[in-house]
Amino acid sequence: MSKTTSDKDSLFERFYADNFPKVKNFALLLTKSEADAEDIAQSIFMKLWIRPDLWENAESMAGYLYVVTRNEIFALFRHQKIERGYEEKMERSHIVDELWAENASTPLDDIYYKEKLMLIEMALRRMPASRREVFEMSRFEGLPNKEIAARLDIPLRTVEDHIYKTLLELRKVLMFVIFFRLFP
Amino acid sequence: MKNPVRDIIEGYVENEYPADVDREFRSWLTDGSHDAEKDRELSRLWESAVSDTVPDLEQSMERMRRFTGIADRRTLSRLRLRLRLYNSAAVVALLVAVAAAVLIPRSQQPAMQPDLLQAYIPKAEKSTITLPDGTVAMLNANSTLLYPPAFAGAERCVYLTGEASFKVSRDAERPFIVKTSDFQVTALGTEFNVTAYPEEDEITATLISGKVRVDYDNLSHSEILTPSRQLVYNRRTRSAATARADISDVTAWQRGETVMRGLTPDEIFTCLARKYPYTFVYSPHSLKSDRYTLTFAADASLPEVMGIISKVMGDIRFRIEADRCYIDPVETAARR
Repeated sequence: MSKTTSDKDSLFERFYADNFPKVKNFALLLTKSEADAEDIAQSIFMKLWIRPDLWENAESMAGYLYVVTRNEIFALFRHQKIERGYEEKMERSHIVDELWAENASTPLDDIYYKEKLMLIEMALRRMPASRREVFEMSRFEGLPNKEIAARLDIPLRTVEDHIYKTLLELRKVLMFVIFFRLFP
Repeated sequence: MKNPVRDIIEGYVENEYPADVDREFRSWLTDGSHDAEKDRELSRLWESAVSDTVPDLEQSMERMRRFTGIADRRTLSRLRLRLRLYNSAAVVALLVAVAAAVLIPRSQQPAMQPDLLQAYIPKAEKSTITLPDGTVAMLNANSTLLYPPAFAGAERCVYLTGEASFKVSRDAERPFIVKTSDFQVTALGTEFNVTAYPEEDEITATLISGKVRVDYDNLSHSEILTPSRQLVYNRRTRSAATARADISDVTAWQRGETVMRGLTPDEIFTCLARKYPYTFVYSPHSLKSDRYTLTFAADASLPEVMGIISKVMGDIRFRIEADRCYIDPVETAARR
């Protein structure tokens, strides 16, 4: 029995209604952009629209949809091609050293080195701005605690406390791999 | 030992970060390192992503309908059929309103023409209304009837999508006319049933008592029906056939019964989806095109109905979760 155009339209609408939410929600998690997630999801379904042979077989579809959605998201991310200056990351690298255990391999050999930098960055961004500011002045700009206290017009105790708490938190974040001396 | 790749992905999706962290995450995710681990964590994330709903789904679907041309095809086919059917300019204005009633979801409908009332019967319901002239219309699920608050002029016209039975009050001066997208039924003091669901190729008029004329194929053909005769018009092949109808089958829906004669599994589930407040989820291509005749009592629940259907068909299995009924093919030993 031949399928009419309106049969195909209705079948596709059902397929779309059943699968679009997951694709878009997944894209939303990673892109954090309503517009990007909508574009990604729509473009995936437009590609599927012209390939009915792909979506007519519902069983194999779930795994396939994951792969095409991931690829579409990766394509968007690669296209944006924002390469940050590596210098800034290097600046953070000595934090990894500082949090390092004596018995670990050298940081640059570590296969998760980049991941650690990412986790440190993300953890710092989740901290209160005042605490992060103090920590960055101390560890990235290399200012002595006294000078930080003077510049920000806060007590020295507060500066030390901010740095102590930040190191504690970063230790937790990197717990998966290192045991480190809390203070040099 | 915790996994740093998982920590990054989980930490990223669960929190808000400034734009530079977004950029860093995007370049990290696509930098080609630890790909197997990233893929494993993304699969986990995919599994946990909400799959049954997303904000503004209806807007996304509208956009998709425009991209794929589905919207244009629907509007065109409905408007074209109607415009071909009725030439009078005065009627055309009304018909655009009819098309809007069908195409626009109920919640977004603009004010209808003030002189046309709308009876909309949702899925899984049926209802009886009395028209201004005393004609009783019984509407089946998923049906819309448009009618004026008072019949003026030489004809009594109503517009139907879906299915309804009419007991027409006698008025020899003014014929009662039911217009659908593809044919119209003209009656004088009579009882008849019209089935014109937009998703079905065949539309049907069945005369229960009295006499009706059915005009079809752009009103170029007409057929007079005598009681118990049924005219089936196929809008795809544009062919019509009359046959003797079993009136108790035709009016079964009015008593809440479900009668399905010679229907394929796909047609059966379409029919059940109108009658029961469930969404049916299945792949039409996984179903065979065997035809079945089934009758269910008025009080049969969906699990009972589906239990019988799956036994009769033998090669499907179903499960009901909340308001969804999932139907999957069963691989039989012989087919392996």
